[in-house]
Amino acid sequence: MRLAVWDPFREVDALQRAANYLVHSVPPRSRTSYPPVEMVDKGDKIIVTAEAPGLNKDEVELSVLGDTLTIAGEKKLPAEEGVNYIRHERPHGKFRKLIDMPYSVDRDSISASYKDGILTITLPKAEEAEPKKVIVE
Amino acid sequence: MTEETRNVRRIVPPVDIYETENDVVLVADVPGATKENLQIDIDKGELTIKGTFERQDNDGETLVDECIYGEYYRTFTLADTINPEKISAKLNDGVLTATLSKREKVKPKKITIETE
Repeated sequence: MRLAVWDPFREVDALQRAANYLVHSVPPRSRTSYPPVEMVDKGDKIIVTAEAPGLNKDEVELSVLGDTLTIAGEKKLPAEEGVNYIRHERPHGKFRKLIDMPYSVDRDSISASYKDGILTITLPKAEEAEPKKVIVE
Repeated sequence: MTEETRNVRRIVPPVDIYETENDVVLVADVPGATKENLQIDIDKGELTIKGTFERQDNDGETLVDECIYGEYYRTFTLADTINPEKISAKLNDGVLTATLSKREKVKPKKITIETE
């Protein structure tokens, strides 16, 4: 009878992986709150992309209060009942991330899309955030 | 055509692995990978996942940079309790799910108790 925990996957590159971390100095994921984001200033708008695989896009909560963008949602376990987990590395659970915007954004024209596990939020800058040319007389 | 560049950052995708009665299921987070660039193969008893997460456009000034772009790569050695001929995989919203079958002999066998 088999009672011991059975690991059918023996990893071969664990050591190599540790070495890679040193070579490429990839920061450990846990240092940033979930999900990791990127924010790019495109001149007239700010683009925020979040690495958030496996979300139900209808359950993602996006809101802007003041100049703070909030991304909230829940990443669920792939299977709940009747299964035996051998490995558990993927983050799961509820998350809420607050991101401060460097400019005022036009809250009425924010749009978002979700593709390949990447959430892309487009936040047009508010008019008052646009640079204004002042002519010296 | 894109030229293969050296020093591509290697990303080790986090995985969940669980077993059901008949299968072993591997779930990997590979955000940004697409059906076109993600590969999963079994060779000589090793399962390898490969894929790419590329920045879509490079215009503008990056203000926050927490995302890691590069190449997903991870290898597992399969136990001989897994049938390497039977594998199915799907990719949904940056999550790869690979279902591997256990060999017949390791599947639990239900024995029905008969009454006379």
